[in-house]
Amino acid sequence: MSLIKVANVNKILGNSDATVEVLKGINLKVDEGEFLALMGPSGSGKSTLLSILGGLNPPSGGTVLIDDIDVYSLSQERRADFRHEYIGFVFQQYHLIPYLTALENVMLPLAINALPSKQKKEMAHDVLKKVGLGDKCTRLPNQLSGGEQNRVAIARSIINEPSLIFADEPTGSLDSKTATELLELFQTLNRNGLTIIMVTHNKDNLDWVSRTIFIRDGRLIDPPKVA
Amino acid sequence: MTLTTIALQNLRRRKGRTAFLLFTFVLVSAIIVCLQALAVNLQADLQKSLTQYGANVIITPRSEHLALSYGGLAVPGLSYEIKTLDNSVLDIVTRNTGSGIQTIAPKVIGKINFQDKSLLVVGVDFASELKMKPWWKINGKQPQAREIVAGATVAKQNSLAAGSTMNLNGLSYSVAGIMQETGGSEDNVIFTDIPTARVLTGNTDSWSMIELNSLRPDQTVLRLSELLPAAKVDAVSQLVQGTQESVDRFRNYALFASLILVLIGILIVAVTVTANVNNRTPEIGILRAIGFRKEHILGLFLREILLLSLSGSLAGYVLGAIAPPLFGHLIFAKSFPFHLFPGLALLTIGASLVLASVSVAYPAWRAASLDSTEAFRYI
Amino acid sequence: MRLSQIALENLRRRQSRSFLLILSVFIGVMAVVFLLTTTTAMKKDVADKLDQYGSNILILPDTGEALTFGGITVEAPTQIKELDMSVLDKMQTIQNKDNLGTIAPKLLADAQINGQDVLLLGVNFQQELKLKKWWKLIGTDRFHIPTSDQILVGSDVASVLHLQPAQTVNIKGQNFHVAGIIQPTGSLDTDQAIYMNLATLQTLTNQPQALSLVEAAALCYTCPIDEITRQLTEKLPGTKITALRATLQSRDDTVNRFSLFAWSLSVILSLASALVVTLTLKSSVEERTREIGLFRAIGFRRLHIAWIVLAEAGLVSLVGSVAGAFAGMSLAAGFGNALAKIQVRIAWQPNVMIYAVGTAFLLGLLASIYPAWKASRLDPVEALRYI
Ligand SMILES: Nc1ncnc2c1ncn2[C@@H]1O[C@H](COP(=O)(O)OP(=O)(O)O)[C@@H](O)[C@H]1O
Ligand SMILES: [Mg+2]
Repeated sequence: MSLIKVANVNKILGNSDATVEVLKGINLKVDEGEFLALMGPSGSGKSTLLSILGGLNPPSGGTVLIDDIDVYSLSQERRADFRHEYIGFVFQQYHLIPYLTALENVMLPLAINALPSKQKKEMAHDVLKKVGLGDKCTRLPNQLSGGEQNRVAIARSIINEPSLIFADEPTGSLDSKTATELLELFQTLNRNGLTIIMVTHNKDNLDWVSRTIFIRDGRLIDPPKVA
Repeated sequence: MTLTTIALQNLRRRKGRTAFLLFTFVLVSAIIVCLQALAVNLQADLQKSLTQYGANVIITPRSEHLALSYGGLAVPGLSYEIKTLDNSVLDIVTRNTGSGIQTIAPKVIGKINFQDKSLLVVGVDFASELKMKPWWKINGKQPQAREIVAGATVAKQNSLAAGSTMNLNGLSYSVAGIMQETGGSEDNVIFTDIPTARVLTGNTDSWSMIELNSLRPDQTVLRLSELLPAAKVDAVSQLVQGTQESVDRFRNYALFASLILVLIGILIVAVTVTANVNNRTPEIGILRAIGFRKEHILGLFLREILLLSLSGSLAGYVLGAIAPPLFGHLIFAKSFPFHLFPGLALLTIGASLVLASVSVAYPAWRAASLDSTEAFRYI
Repeated sequence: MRLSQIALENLRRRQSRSFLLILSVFIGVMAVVFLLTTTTAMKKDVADKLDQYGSNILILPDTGEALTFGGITVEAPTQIKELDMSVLDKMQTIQNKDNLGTIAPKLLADAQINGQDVLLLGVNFQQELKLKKWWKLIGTDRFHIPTSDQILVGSDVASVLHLQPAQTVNIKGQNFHVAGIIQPTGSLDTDQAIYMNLATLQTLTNQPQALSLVEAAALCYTCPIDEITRQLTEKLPGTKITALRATLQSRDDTVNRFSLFAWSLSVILSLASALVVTLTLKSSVEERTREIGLFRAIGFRRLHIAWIVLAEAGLVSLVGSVAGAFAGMSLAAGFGNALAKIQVRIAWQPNVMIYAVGTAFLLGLLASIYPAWKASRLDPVEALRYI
């Protein structure tokens, strides 16, 4: 039983005088509990595909089913609820809110939940500790390093206990030790039942994942023969 | 953490933007309130000074005969009958000033011979006259008993100057001052105080006419007509109507200026708020990606702007209301009483809340309708 | 890639931001230009209206005035000198003839009606009604000009002679219709006279060219009244020309108050607009602190940054203020009269526009250079942290 079913997705980007077909006929199935890596050269369409899977960016054609729900047949608002409930997203540029502290950024998804304030704080604190930033709760994003911002973004993506996490090059700006810690964290989450789809450049990361798919020029391709 | 926390943190941490928005609200509402305070004060001032200007009620003797003069000219060859007001008329007027009477200027008018010509002598109470008629300018001093003030033409024709003497009815009177030309009948007469005029004209116990200045001329006329059936009491409609017209014109003018100012204020607030929301489109994209609904985004932005516009317009109102009393005298050489303008306060604050909400709602809604990836791309 | 190109590209790419910036400047300049222009016109309009509210100049023969004060006549001269119609033509020869707003000639005569001596005033009704705006008429309205066989009757005359509107009266052998009764005005001169057509009275009294006096309303906004009376005295020998100080003083008072209000309005609005332009541009540069940090990081000198920012601010404030000045002036010239309910025509005033544009332009530059300079003094790293 597949959690994600992608059929014939393509995406055309650009303005009226120059359009680019960024994704071409993508078909993909992801099962629940998978830890999937998406690999490909820069500019091949990884981020675009990820955002389409995450319900952030409607495709130009094709369908995306998650849990048998046709994501893009939902209204914008229902899609927002859907993201809030099922999906955690870690952006390549982190996208933290600049005027909120690390703790507040992590708590952000809870702002629209009806929980007692204290409980929200505790939850955020726990998650920040999990990503190793228990001591930097009160820092603003511009007072954090790139790796730390990355971890705040990850903490924000899991605080709502989603069933799916999309992470766009989460280890891109990390040294190998921190990268390993992060992958261990993902592995733990994955073992607890979370489905994870991660864009990566780094072949070393592939040791941690359960399956890898490859993309080039907007098409999924068979794994390249080891050169 | 709630939407309110997010709003407050934004206002707190982005001090520059918050100050700029807040300042816009303060400025716009302060200007509108301040202008209103100025307008109300200046209008009251205008009304007061115009009302105090000139005789706006006139009491003359009733006569079956009609006067045959106009603008200082009279139909020649006819004899003119002179009627007077009873002494009691002045008493009645003096006892009934309740209808707004401010100044009472009774007059004794009579003819006297001077060097083979007839001269008109007008006995007046100088204090009252000068209060009502600021255009009477006497070169010299105010006359005492047995002194006179000569009208400009009389002085010229008889080569009079302050200090010279006139022989009237065999007594010599000194000229205390010359009245500057007024262009009216003042130029052709000589003025004395009332007792002197009574001696000169032989009119010992009646009045030729009484001029009044009243705050409420129409009311005064009604009241005095009732009390003085034998006299003719009329409002001087040129003055009364003119005052009304000037005050009305001022009110219209102030209203026009306020309307323009309000319009400009609305535009400025709308543009500033819209620009602020536009700059935050990427932020809105992040919140949408996390699963905020449009209503959450609107709720967040409304919380911020309502807080800003409420405090801004409140501060602006206070500033605008206290600025004229505090600084008015420096510019206008007059003091401004403090007015509360409760209606205007409510209107300004209410309007700024509504306006702020509307100007935030549209761009926020539009930004929230973008897909997150598009919102991030916004620069 | 040149520096000014960076500025232009920034404006072009961030269209809605640029649009709103320009719009702010536009609104500020438009408001000031519109209000300054209409306000000036309004002051003139107020002055003109006051000047034409009653007369402010009286032209009399130089001898033969009666002994009269405040409408109470004690003695009339045995004979009076008269003016003639040529006075009116001569008045039009003075240098400031355009400042003569209303000219109301009059002929005085007397007639016996039902055994009463009554003053007859021959007037030009059109001018007279324009001058005596405070007259309230019964039986007719202000905009109806009585014809040559109609008369207006002062209230006292009406009550003494028991006259009603539409009644017919015989005056010197000719029948006249009472077109209206003038409600009491508090002036004996007005209340105790019958007004009729000037030419009719001249014929009736067999003095076809005679005039007794002329009342005039001079528009003194651009030319002081003393100058006008001086010019009239020069052209009209044998007459006595006086300015009526009583109306002049209150006129000045009122006009001054309008001016004061208009002045404070302009000052407040100009200051506010200047602040809006300044703060908008200042905050727009502040928002770009990060960008400036980036420029510094890649080695731009402060002068380069100043150039980029000034080019952008200069363009924004120039476009906004020129458009605003034109819009404000067109609005004022096109709709100012109707909106402010004034009669004075509002002309284009290029100097107001130039001042407004110049001020906005300079303010825009000053307002943006300060935060740019401040941002470029930050270490690039610090600037990049700006939120
Ligand atoms: N708004 C856009 N307009 C046109 N082309 C775009 C746009 N956004 C991305 N692209 C192009 O789409 C391709 C895929 O981008 P992306 O998904 O970000 O690649 P990556 O695999 O590096 O994450 C790239 O070639 C990029 O140039
Ligand atoms: Mg990418």
